[in-house]
Amino acid sequence: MSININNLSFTYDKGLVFEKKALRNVSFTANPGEIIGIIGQTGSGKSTLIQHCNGLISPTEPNQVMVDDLDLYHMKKTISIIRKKVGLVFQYPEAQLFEETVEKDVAFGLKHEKLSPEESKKRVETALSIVGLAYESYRDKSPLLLSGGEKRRIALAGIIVMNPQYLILDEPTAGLDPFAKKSLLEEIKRINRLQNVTIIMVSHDMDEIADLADRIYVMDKGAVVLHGTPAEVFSQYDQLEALGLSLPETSRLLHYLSKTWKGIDISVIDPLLGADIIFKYMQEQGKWN
Amino acid sequence: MLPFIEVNQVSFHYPESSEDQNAVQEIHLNIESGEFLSIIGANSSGKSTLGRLMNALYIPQKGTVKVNGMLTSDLTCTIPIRKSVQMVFQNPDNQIVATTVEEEIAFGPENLQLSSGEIRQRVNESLKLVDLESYRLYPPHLLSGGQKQLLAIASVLAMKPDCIIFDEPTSLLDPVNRRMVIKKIQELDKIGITILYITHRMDEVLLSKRSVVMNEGKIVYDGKPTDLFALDQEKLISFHLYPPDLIKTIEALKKKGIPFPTPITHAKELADYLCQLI
Repeated sequence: MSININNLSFTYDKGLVFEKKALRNVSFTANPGEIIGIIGQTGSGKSTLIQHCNGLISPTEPNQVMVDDLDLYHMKKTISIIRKKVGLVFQYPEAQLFEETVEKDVAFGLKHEKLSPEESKKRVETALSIVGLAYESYRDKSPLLLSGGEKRRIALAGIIVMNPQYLILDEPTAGLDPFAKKSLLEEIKRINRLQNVTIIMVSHDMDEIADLADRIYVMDKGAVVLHGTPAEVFSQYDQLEALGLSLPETSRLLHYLSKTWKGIDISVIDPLLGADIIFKYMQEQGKWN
Repeated sequence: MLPFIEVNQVSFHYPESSEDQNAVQEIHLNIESGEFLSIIGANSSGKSTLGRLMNALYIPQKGTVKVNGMLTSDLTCTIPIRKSVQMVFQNPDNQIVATTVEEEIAFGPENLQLSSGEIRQRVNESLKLVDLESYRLYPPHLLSGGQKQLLAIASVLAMKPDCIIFDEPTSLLDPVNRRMVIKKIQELDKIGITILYITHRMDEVLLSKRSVVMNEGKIVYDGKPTDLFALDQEKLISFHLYPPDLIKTIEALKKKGIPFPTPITHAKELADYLCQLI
């Protein structure tokens, strides 16, 4: 049971002046319980890729996009199941909040589920608690008058309430302050661990990807050019620089140091572990005891 | 000389909240012409509200804001103030209205009822300043995020502003686009435009020469960005600023006894400094 993309290519506006090849022979897997990071420049095909995962864009050949053995090529048969299985949170999801109260907004997706009011209330309550908001204090508030971080969480709750098995997040922390960012990332981790939801996350923030992801796919001009664990991917300093991506601060620092300090471990991403490695190296040189 | 923007004991609350829930409170801030000032702080700390008070989008209930000597509360000054102080927001899609790049840039000048020759000249100049000449007839929605942001900047440049307030202009961009936009903003600084730069990114704070930190509607720090980072961690955290990774590494090394006589703000600087020690 996983999302499998096999050798997928996609062109926007085929045959028109604005024709743009967005994906070239992309293969991609998200296994149950994993957190997958997708990084790449703007225009590298990240969004096109994730929109294939829940059928917003349909593949042009069979067996190219499979979600739990359902082929998205046969869209008519599978789409209603896929949309429930795979929740997609867009960039700036707060732009899609519209209801009068938080409760109604979060519950909107449940309308088709024919739930009793009690069940619906329970689902909303759970979804809000997963994103760290207390149901009683938020249910009657207008979602439009809350802060940026709160709005973002409510929009996220509106997807989580559908109990997806896969959650795709497009730049979930863009525009949040460092504190709100940190707590949202904690919640994403929690959703992954406690609800066993597979997470696919697109981000430009290398530090957060390094911190969260089990595996990373790096995209450039519509193709996957690198993939592996964060330590594997971020040790490819020169290639990432050439792709116009910046490394996590600690990788960058260790990379600079490795030019003079031969043999220093450059696979560390955590800033405090980085300090330990640097200090150990300095001690080994007999300078700091 | 008078400061370009004078914010004098300003408090402001939104109409939907009560009077004791000020979004900004007793703000006192003078900005000189040509300054490059960064404004940082948590979400809802009042940064954006402060920005909007400085171009008469909001009028303070208490205190006064003067731009170039003009009071923002004087409605006859609203238009000259808005012309002088322009804004670029986080999400360029929110301010793009036209169907081609060229029309988008012409939109502002057209509303000033300038001659078509003047409009054309301003469009050309603005396109050149942001390097979007080859996209002149492009529909804006087909531009990349960074290009859209450059287009938003070109549109405000066509108004020939004295000052531009950037409200987190790079938070949606990837590193290449981010560098592209930042480079442009630095060029605008060099040609003398006053820049107020609202951001969450600590590395961007270092571009400015002066930094203002907002917390719960108040200014809690006003000074050099390098001095800000030299403050102790608890202080930064109390400002709701989360120290960047590089600073965390430096702090951990300090605790192990490695001296840091001068503030360091770049990985390259730190690497060079450490290499020098052994």
